[in-house]
Amino acid sequence: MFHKQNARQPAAAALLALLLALASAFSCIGLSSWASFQKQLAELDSHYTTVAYPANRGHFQLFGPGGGIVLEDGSLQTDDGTILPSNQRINQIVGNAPGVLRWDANVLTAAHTPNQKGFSSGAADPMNYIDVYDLHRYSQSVMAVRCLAVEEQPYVDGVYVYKFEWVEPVCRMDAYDLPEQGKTFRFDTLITGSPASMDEEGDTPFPSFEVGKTYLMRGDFVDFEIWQEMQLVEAAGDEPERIELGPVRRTADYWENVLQLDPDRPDAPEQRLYFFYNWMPTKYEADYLTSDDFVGHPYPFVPNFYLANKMVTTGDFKIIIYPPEDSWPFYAEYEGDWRDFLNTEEGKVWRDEIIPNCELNHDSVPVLFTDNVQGLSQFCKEESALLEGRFITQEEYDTGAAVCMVGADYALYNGLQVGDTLTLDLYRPAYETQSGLAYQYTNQDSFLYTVCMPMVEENRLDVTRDYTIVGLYTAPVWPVDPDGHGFRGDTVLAPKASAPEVVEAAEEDKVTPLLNTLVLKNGSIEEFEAYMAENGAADRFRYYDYGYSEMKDSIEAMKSSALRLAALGGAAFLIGGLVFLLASFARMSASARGLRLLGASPRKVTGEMLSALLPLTAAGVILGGVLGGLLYGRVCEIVLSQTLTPDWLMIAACAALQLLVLCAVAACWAALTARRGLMRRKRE
Amino acid sequence: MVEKKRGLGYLPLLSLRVLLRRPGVSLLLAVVAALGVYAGCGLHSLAVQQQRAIEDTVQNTVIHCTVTDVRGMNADNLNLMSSYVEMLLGRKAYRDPSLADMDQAVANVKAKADWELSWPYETTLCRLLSQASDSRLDSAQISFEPGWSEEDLLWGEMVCLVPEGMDIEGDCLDIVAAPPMDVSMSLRVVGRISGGPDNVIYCPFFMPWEEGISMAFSIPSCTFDIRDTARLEECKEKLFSTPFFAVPSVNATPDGLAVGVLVHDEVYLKSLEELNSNLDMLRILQPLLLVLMGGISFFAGFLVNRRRQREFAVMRCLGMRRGAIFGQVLGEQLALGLAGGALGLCAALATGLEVRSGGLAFSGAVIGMFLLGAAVCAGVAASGSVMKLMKTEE
Repeated sequence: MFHKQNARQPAAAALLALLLALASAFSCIGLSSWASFQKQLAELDSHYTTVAYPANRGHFQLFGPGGGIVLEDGSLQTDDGTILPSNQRINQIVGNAPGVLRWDANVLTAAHTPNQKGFSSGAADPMNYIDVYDLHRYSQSVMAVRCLAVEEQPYVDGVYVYKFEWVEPVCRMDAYDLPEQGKTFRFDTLITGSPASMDEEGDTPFPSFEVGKTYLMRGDFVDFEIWQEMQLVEAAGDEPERIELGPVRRTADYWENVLQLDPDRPDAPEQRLYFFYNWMPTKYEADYLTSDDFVGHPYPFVPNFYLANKMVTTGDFKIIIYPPEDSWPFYAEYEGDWRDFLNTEEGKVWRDEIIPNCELNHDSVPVLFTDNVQGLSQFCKEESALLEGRFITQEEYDTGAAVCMVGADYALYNGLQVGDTLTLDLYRPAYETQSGLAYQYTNQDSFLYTVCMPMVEENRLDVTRDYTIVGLYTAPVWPVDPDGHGFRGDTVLAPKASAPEVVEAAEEDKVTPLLNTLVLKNGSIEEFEAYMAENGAADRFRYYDYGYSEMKDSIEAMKSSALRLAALGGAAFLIGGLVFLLASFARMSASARGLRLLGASPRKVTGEMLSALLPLTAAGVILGGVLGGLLYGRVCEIVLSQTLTPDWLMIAACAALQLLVLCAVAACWAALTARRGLMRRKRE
Repeated sequence: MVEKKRGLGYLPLLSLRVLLRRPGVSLLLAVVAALGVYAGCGLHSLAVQQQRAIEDTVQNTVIHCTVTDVRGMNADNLNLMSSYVEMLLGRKAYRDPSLADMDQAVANVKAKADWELSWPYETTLCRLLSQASDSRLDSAQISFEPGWSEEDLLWGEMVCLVPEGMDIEGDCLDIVAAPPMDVSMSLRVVGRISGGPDNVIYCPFFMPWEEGISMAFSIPSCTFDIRDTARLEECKEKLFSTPFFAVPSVNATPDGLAVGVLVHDEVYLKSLEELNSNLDMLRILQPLLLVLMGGISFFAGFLVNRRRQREFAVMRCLGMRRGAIFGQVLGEQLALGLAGGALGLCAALATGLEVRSGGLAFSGAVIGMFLLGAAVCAGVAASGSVMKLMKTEE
């Protein structure tokens, strides 16, 4: 019956279907736009990383010299009951803080680079040298020296100062082979930070140097300091006479002849040697410092490498520093030529183990395994930037692709380019955070810098992997981050998942994660800081958002547009659908009444009505979906954005939902129409 | 006959009665009109708001630039001549015409130079362009003497700012540069700094070493901002049009003249591209959706009035002219359209949409489509054969 009605009035039926199609198309476009806007928002959001960096301050810096009780987690409870939270407690508070997406816990380790030279701070330009950056690996040296003098340190009992004369550097990084060398260098047994250093018998551990004798020594070589000093430069060419604040290598010669200062002054420049020392906190220190006070821990003890320490409490407490029994020798006396000594039985360990290990450390790099290069503080602060190539992609982080980014300086120094391969022979993660002084350049502001500890065979992971360089970054020559988040351009940045062995080793050794980044939801800095402040931990993080806050208005406008478009689409569909149903049932109601009057049951009439209406509805909705998709596709094509392609699956789902809703409403409406009182029409 | 007695004034009344007699349909048509107006205002408003938000973003975004060597490195160890700072400040046009108006491309130049002093003991003299040039002054307060301001740091007065606690006899401070520059001079103290370093004396960046004799000096680093982010490309073009500033490249060869400038605009440009594509999309969607809305309105008007063909036939039988029927239907729809339009407008205002001429024009077009649908239907009904209309199925 109703099919015939449609057939007799095809124009009306077509118009109805067209109305529904337009409404459906509107809503499909609205929904597609909403989905696209969400994609765009996600894309936009992904350009920004809001990060928080812990201010890595030690106990004293955090709490000052005031009194109080140190709690189990290292927090300080002051006399008035206020709890000044330790880093350990901060970590707990952060666990419940709002807006935290994740901790990017990075792992720093060292790797031997068989085909590349290590990039010490003075490698490219000797005037960039700062000892802190070179410690443990680049500065590792073996030297032949002659003892000139042994003096007791005037201020600390039992500590001796030794003056040596150079015989020859046996193994030292090329970068230190500068024309102006010192004639002497200094070695003393005083280890900064410990009240005294002596062996178990109460003697200083190295009193056996004798004046006039020659020795081979190994340790960290510290060269003359570089100072920024003013110099008058005469006019030349276009340049006027000027004062240049330039770097000067304060050699003994410069001190005496240019500055005309007394060479015996205590602050007179000297080259020095330090023995490797295991800086793991002693029991005494641990009482006052929590483990989190250290940004990074050194190696688990390597028996043949470091001096060891222990504390004795008989009488005045003493920290005893001593060479462990099975240690490589720290020095050896020799006579004649040191080369001949290397061929002796006693010199064998120097020739076969110590010197090769020293050379291995020279050709090495620090490797920072991370999940987010752009989240690293230095990139957020724009102190580092991508110079060539690209950043590591999310897919590469996820799959652990063997790709890396290297400093442009390092790349130039080694003739590397984007696309080249860098072979990394990985070692167990171990590092130590040093406080440094960038001398005149930073106006003597102190900073924290983390250096990888020496690599030795015991810590080799036996994992050698080729990494493809995908990007070159620029890094500061002198990273001077006060919280230890800085790194030099010799650092290789690679996806954490590319070296699970390193991450596993870090967990086994309980190495403190380094250069951590707390990734926050974009726009949640205020909320996060307010929460931290509520928990007594205000001002313990520094925040960067890559300028997200400046984009906030646009992003909010986009969010609002997306919602409104979706709502408009929904409303258009509802109204269009309603008009469609109203017009359809208005067409059918008289015939339905006629059918009922002829004795057809309400169910039969309902069925008849639906069988005619539903194909029309389906046609309208399908037509609308296709129309909406095509029109939206055209829009996307015009906008020319790859991210904005119509999602046909979603459009199909949307159309299906519309059909379902219309069918349900139509079924109810048809049932009501079929059951309407037959006399009612007359009353109207 | 009816028309003659009642006249045209009767039409609105008749329309109202007809509408009230069919409240459901009338309401639905009013809602269609309301939605049309709301959509018109809404879609236009979304584009306007988005455009405005982008403009605000562009205005609020600061693009930072870092001076490097031509290979993009050594940003913190440049040994850059102070004359480059003068170039960035637009003061070196006499040297090269391309440097003219450089200050229109560049803003907030930050540079400082620390010089060790041998007197006062253990202090440093810091040449400073602005407070923001030295991170040590981030949380410091500077109180200037009357008549002096931060602006004066840009010039070459022989004045200084001293730490709050520093004892000064009289108005001037005598300073002596450390060896080998054993030069002494007297600087007038024009301000005090609290909350900053207690061993640093600050002076204007271009302060001469001796009265009247300016000297070039080198600085370790320099950063600046793009003057107007909206003119980013223009500013970059200006900057790189000189032989003194270049886009850094790892493979570039230093020529002793050009320095590199890293413009940190990647994130901004990517985001702006995303925002603009979103705006483009809104702009294209706007007419498209309005056409769809117009179509819905048209069909709604047409289909709802189509039901009344028998009614129109009766009117014709009663002697009503075709024009009068057309006028009545149009009047009814106009009343509904206006009522719905007013409703849509109120809804638009209530939901914070921008109701502006563009939006209203779009709304008018939608209402027009709605009326057109009704008019076509009424026209068809009024022009058709009465007998045929009477036989029409509902």
